[in-house]
Amino acid sequence: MSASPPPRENFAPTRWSLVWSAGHASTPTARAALSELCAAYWYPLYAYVRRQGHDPHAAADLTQSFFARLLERNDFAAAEREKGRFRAYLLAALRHFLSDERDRANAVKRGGAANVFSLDFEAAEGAWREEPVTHETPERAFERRFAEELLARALGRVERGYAERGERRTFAVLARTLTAPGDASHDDLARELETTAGAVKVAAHRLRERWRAALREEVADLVATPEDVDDELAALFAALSD
Amino acid sequence: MSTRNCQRCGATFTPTRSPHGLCPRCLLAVGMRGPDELEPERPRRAPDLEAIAPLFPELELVAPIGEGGMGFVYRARQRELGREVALKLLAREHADTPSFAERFRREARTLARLSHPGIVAIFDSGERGGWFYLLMEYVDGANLRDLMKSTPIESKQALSIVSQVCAALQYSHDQGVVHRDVKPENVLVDREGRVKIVDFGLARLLAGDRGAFALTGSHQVMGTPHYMAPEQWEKPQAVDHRADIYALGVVFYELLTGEMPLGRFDAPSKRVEVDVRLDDVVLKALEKQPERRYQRASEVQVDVDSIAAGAGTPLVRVPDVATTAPTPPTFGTAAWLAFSALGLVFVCAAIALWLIAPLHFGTSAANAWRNVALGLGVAGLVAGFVARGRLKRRPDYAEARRTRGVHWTDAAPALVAASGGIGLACAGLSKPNHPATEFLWLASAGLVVVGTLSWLVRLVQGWLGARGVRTHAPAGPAASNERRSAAPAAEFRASSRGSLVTFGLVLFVGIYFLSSSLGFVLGELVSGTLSTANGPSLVYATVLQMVFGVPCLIAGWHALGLSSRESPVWSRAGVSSFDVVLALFAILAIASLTTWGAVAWNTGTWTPFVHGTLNLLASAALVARRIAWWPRAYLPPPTSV
Repeated sequence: MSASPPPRENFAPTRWSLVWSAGHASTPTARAALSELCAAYWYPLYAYVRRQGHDPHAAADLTQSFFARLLERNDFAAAEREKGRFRAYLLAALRHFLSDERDRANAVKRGGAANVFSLDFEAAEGAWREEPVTHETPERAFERRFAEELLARALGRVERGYAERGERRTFAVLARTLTAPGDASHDDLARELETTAGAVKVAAHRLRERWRAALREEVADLVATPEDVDDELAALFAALSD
Repeated sequence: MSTRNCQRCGATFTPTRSPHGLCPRCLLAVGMRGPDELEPERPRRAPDLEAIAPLFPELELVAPIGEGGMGFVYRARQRELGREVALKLLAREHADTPSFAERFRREARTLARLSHPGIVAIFDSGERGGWFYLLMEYVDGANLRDLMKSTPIESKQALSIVSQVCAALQYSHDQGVVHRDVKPENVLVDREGRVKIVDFGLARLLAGDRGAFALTGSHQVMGTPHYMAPEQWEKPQAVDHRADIYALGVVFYELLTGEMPLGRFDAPSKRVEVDVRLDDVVLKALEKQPERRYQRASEVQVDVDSIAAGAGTPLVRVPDVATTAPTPPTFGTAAWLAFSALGLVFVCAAIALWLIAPLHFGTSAANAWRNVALGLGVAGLVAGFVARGRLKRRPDYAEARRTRGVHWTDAAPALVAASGGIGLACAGLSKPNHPATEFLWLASAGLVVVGTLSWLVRLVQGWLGARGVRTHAPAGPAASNERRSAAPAAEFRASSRGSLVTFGLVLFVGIYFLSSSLGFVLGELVSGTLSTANGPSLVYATVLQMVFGVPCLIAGWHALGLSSRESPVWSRAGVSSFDVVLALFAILAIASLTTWGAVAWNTGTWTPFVHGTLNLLASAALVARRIAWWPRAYLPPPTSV
């Protein structure tokens, strides 16, 4: 991974490949792509910083400062070799940033870092408090939160598709068949949706296909080449496994 | 808070955080399957005993005992032999390829060849009613995962377990069998502490030709991610026995620290108090490149056994310093005033007492008063230094010194000088030529001198500081504050070393006082002079020593935690600062004993001799305890990061 691979013709430029092909987010499009990605995946970073032992205030502050530096300069040399994958890059860059911060030990003076995004840290802290008290490492906290965030985004993508076709209810009812196909019989679901068991079976199958496609699209957005999608999925799966 | 376990894959998740309350792991697994695998799979539920029993008429099925990625396990009894066995049914989705039956037969035969006390024996295998099964030795115990959850595992036990696992792995490697899925769930420990490994080679059997990421349903079958060696991820079909050694390293790390070695992990001794030599063993087993790892399980065993032979200290979990950095203790204003005043008064009183003792008292009484003076002096110095140190750590003090050059506490020396002045006035009004008057004279004069001098020094310092001249050796309190926030652990370590000396001194002052007063009573008894021969002052001195000694002894004992074996006084390896104080005290005791022994022999004055003997006995008891509890293996200080 010494140079960023150019986006290939049969592979629509994803956000992440866009960032890197443009070279360190120097163009407005690339910068927009990067900031969009950061805005989507900031909670895992917050979780990482909190798990490092920082208090809510410092964690919010550090997360904002990190984004500021990422978007302004994006000069995390140590993270360069991870640029094939957004997730790995983000974590490497954050680590680099935190160690820099520690070295400078200017946590007190930093104070008013410019807020790049309006991030709802209060909600984040609320979510953090909701989390079980575990002994997971900061890395693990990050990976897991990242995977959850990604899944939520992918499922949101599917849900929007259904909503646009006016099938919000179908989605709501069938969503649980995604992970537990055997738990509710097709007949029960058919009654609930006022249709036939055969139709439910087809609909459930279609939902799984859409889910699969959406998940792969979401992951593809975060890697440099299409070959990396499977690897990234496997890594995310490992992050969610105990 | 509101987590639950997925009923399908067993993963823990937080429904409020996951999309539509679905298990994220299952959700991802569904999305990862190929387009041809999207049909709903059969539910993975353990079949009921009633459904299975007819298939195995020769067995009396007792109860289901486990369920995992591999399949379902039942406890059973062979009707013919009355022997307890474990029946494992392989999950059906594994057996969906035509070649499976053949591969299963082949693997089962290989496994049946393994005969080792550390490996669960296979009695029978085959296929019945669509279920592939293995009939195995029943182990009455628990797996390592459950053990780790239920009880803290001591390092001794951990070493024994790892050693046994090594022996079993070495045997199977010699037979050409690689386990491929060594993890705590697959290590069973029976009630006698014997280790038995289960599920040899099943990972490969069940993965078939699909590779490492062959994910069927909601679980992964080619090894368990965190226990997989790097090469196992890359070329799952080409791994050799060294992948088992890596997994063993992960299990070992987990046993010692209770955590997984993820990312850039710390050496075990940095997480918990364990023998540092274990770091080398664990880290070598966890080498990323198989060539740099241990090449044989038996090598791990040899190293572990040699460490086990010399180590018997229980595992002590220490808090993670990085996240719970203790803030250095500081004093409030009242405490600071009390300690400083006590310190100054004690020191001045000690000097005064030392000077007047030989003028007014007989030899024995003078010695006793000089003892009191010594003790007072040490107690005063300790109190003064403690007060000064803790004041300097206060943010308001640091801030005031940095911005204005002076803090209001800098006015305190003036108060001291004033109180000395009052003392002098009182002495002038008192009865002349009386020891108490002279004492008051000297002590008050000391207070005046010390107070005035330090007040002048502070004024000059403040005046210079306000003009930007640095009067502090470190580059100002602001800089030292920054250093502190950057390295709270180092800061705390230093202060704890200081506190070992401080409270060590307090303890020995207590011992000295008590032995001195007891020495007086016993010595006078021995000499037969326990009377008013020396006047009442000797009795006063003795009582005073008791009054000072008991609190000092209690405070020192308590602060050092001497009753506990985990106290740094006992558990620190090498020579601690307390050891130095103890050694000095013992040397003093020996020296005084020889001197006073000669005096006692010649003059019949036994008091100092008994005093020295008691000091020596006390220090000998401390030294003996230190030697008895000496950490056999090198233990790093508990706060090392």
